[in-house]
Amino acid sequence: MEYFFYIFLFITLYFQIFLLISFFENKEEKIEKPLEDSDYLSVTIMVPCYNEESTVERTIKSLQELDYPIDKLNIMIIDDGSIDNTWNVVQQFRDDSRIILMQKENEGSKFAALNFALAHIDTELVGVLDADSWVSKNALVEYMYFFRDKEVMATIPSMVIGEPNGILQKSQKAEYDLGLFARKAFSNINAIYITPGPFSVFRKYVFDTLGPYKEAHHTEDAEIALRMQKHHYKIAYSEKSVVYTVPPNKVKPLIKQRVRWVYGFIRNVIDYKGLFFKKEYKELGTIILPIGVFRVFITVILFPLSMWLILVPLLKFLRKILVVGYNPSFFGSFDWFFVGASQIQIFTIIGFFMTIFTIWIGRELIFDRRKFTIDIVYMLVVYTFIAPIWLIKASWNALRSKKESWR
Amino acid sequence: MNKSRKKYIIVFIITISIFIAVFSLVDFLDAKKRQNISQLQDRITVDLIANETQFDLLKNAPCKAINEAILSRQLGELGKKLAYAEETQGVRNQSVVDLKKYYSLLQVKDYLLSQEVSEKCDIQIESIIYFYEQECNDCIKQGYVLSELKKKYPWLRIYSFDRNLDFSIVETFAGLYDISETAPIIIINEKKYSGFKTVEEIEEYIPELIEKKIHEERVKGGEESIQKKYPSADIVFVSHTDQEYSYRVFEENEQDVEYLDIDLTYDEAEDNFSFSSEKLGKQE
Repeated sequence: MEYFFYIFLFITLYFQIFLLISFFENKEEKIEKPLEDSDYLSVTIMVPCYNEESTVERTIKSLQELDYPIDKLNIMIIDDGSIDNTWNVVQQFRDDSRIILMQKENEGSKFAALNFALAHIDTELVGVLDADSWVSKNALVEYMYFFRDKEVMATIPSMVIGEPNGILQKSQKAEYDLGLFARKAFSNINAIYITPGPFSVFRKYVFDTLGPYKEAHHTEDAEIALRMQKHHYKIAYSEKSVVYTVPPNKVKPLIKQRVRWVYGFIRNVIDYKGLFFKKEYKELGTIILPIGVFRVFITVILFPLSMWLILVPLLKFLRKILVVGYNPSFFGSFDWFFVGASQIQIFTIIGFFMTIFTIWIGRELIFDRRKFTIDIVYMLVVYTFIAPIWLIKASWNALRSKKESWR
Repeated sequence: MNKSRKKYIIVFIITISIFIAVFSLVDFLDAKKRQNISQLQDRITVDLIANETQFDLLKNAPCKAINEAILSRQLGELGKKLAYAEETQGVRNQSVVDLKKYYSLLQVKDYLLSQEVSEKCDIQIESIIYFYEQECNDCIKQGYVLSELKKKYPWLRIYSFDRNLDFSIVETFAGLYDISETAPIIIINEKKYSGFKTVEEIEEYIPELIEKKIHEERVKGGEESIQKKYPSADIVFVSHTDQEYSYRVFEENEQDVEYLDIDLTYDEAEDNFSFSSEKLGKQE
């Protein structure tokens, strides 16, 4: 049992170090010389909305304020059969020549709304922006440096949490910042396997050649990226393009969202298992996808266990304080006798510092100066208790539905 | 060599190095600990022999000499290390079990000796005998309380015995107090208290603790007020009756060995001292 544990630990650590090294690998992707007129490609941004009356206004306004030539930008709002006031709210933008308003029947999935819009688009680039997110002014212009490379087929942004409130949202802020590090590392080795709903921009060519979005277990944004990887279409990451999103602020919706993500990830990766261990897919096939799935399972064990190891001495200390009060005493002399640690404790400490370090460099990417904030602690504590819930649930669902589909 | 294969190998080497580093660090600490445990065993053995010798000496040595030799020796340090070894190595570790047996024996001897001294020399020695069990929740809490008391009253002698330790001496000792209850059990002045007791409760059972503490503070306070008057003097506490505290004060740099006998009166309401008499004396 103990050996299994160390093997798990070894794989996890190997993956982390692999990412770290990849992160610092220098990859010249972006062509830095100033943009010329011809570099500004025509873009359509699709905004699918389903009952987003409270957030969609901000989303559209941020698109209107994008620093981009007016005649090159189209904004397509697709009301996916909302039953709230969304359609009325978006009417205020009717007079903007860049904005196209559309309405369709709801079919229960975002991919249908996107495909509906895709059929009406003939710009060189096509992007998505979820109606609960908003973009920074330079987000789109920054992409054009990447699209100058003819091989780049899609570009994804730096996703961060805008205006986090409460412990749960702040925990997610730290997590997203940590994700930036991973995203950069993945991009350096051409292994981005998701083009997220908030502001991924594709060449129209992608859909013309590979076909439209698929249902893909409710994670069409993971499927399209894997499909692109399968055909060796390059996905770039523009760290300077910052997109803000609003995360769930209650435990239940958060778990629901994550179960969907993790479940979709596992199912899609299984659907694309043809990428595994093939020489042509390099690191994506050898490490990123296989260990990515494997990690879902081992994190269920490792994360709570390591937190437990930190919490137990803390609880012991608290109990002592409850019995006799806090009376610090200082040892005059250092005695080796009282120094001791187990392997697991040391690994936990290593993991803890690695987490902090990765958040630090994630924030460095988007020029966030506040590196060590309390939300890191929130994340470590909150995720200890709730991350296993969605990981277990998603893994379980994935295994079960796999069985069903075999019948 | 292929570039990406090189990377896999480099990452593998780094990961393996971290593993090796962690495991050897733990090994190093364990080795230190084992070494320390054997040192602990040696010290306990030496103490046991010293104890025997003091018993023999007690028959004809003057009280004052014995007093200091016995009361200055503290088992507390050994006990603390043993408790830590127990926590980290596990209670079932054989060398920990052996150590505990030795330590229990030493404690019994120390207790008997201090009883003897207390009787022969007519001095009060505050002590607590404590019986605990493994995997007993109240015992953990009781342990915290006792170490807190030890910190507060360093002269307090605490003898703790593990009832799960399969050792005849502990059983015999427990038999003396007719113990049938479950732990924690505390014995103070031959009186048995069972169940968890707080710091305050134990202080009530041994009022001498607080009295002694107050007395100590008074003596110190008196010294401080003399120090204010004679900043460079050596002050020795002599005796006290009620609110009178007598000191002998040696002034430095005196040709003749002269001294001052100072009596102070303590004012309880004001919490300060006043000089009631000063007498000059000379050593022959």
